[in-house]
Amino acid sequence: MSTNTQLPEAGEGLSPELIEAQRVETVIERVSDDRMVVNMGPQHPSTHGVLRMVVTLDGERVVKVDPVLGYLHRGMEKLAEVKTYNQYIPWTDRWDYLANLQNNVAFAMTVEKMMDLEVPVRARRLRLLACELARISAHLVFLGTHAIDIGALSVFFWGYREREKLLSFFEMICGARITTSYTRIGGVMRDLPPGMEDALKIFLREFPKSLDEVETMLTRNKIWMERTKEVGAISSEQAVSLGITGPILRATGVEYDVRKAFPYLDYDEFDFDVPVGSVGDVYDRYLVRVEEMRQSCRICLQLLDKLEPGPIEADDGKVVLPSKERVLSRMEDLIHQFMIVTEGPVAPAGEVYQAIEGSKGELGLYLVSEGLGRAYRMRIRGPSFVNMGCLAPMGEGGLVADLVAIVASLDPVLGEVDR
Amino acid sequence: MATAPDGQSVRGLDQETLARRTVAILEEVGGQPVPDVPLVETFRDQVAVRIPASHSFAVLERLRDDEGLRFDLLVDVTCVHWPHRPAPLGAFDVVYHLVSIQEGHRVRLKVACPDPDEGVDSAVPLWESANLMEREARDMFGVTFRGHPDPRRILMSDDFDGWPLRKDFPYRGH
Repeated sequence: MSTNTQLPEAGEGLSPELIEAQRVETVIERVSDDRMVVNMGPQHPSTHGVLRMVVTLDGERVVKVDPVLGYLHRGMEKLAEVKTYNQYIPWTDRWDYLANLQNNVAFAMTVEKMMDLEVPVRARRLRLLACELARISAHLVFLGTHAIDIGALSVFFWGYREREKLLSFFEMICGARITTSYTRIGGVMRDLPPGMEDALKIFLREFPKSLDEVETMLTRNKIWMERTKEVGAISSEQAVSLGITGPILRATGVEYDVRKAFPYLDYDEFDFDVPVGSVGDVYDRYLVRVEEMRQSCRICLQLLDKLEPGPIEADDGKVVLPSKERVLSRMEDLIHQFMIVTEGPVAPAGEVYQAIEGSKGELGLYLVSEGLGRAYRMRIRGPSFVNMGCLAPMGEGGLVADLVAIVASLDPVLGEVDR
Repeated sequence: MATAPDGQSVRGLDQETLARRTVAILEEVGGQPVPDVPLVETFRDQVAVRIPASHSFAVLERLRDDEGLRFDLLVDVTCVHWPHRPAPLGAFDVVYHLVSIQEGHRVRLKVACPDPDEGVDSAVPLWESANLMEREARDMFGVTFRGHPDPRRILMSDDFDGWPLRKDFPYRGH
């Protein structure tokens, strides 16, 4: 605290009160061997939800961090065993509630893989678009809250201003801003409204400029760098051992991205770079995420150029709900509709694992089916949950104020941590 | 337009080779396959190799260190409950998903665990990521991970009674 403060020599002209005050300060430092246990959260403003950390402190220094999870546990995996596949889609909105669209896509893809169902090209494109827009929107929340935790209030407003536009696009796509429930088993719920593509192109061209604005504010900012550089650094070996994925892993210099290593949704047809850091500190994580937003814009712009009209749902009467006219005029479609609604679209018995690169890391779904219209067991491998493992190695030994920066840089979404 | 199936490895080994190599490793460490069940299950271009609980740790260790396989990332540990499944497999499967970042491939291992109290060996000495995931698996299924350094409950509260993801745990009305 006052290690640089030197006691003035007697007779240097300081008032006796000041000399006394400084003496008291040194005494406090000397006796501060007592450790203090502090509960940070679950209602702490900097914990981004209901994260609780039991922090053992030695003065300002963090000795031990123990994350206490489960405050938002809703039994998402149990629920998957009683809801039909289509019924479950609204629940997927509530895992990582800042990037709902990508959860919708991950779930639908897993079930379709189980069914071995081919989805039309346009539906795949729309899903990819949804995933990348969700990534930008989630990273904008990271940017805003991270900055606010460190004290840059205006970045929060700038980030949310841009996110607001994205949420309006989500509303245009599926009618909801947060609880999107965009996918259906076999496709997506509806096509883009007229005029959306052009509006989106304008946004995607403008958006990197507002990122420049944020970067002007932060990237070379002395205070920002002081607070984030060399803070919470982790080596690439330890990050891999801890199972970290996503931007946190890439900030350590490991180039692992599910979109590149195990491509899905035709990601291999688009040009984009995977940004990596070198030090693995809070600053690198910030840089990686900012660059990821730019790359996502790049993917979306390429995609909009390639987007061609076509069906948005698979042509499989046993999986996709038939149109109302057909239900009212053909008996088979009436039966199919009844079965899909009551029993759910049936997937054969088996097990699949499907991973996507979520905004927080590898979002993997392990689905076990017994041949019914609902899952026998569904495991949600939430990246936020596994990423919580690096809280202790990053935070221990640092300062309390750094812990706030570290939590913000991990970008945990508690809906996904606790599920 | 024919596209490759979602999630297929770009530069890593294909799934059949991975299954063969894993089976070879199982033989090298002296493990006997679980009798009367298929050693390798293939479904939708994904393989799952069944490892006996007695040799799960040795196989995992070899998979991590093997030249050419290098499974450096333990992606997932979870359980599946089969309450009425007869011996020798028994009521629980512990499922591991491994990824090799270096080589770019992934594989699934299944370890049958008939007695949840006896459980399986913890993988924490091999991967730190096993710590949280095994804690969660125990919290939800009551399967013991022998040698786990911190086997507290994680998502449920410490005084919670029961194992929520077991099939005999009611969906509502507990």
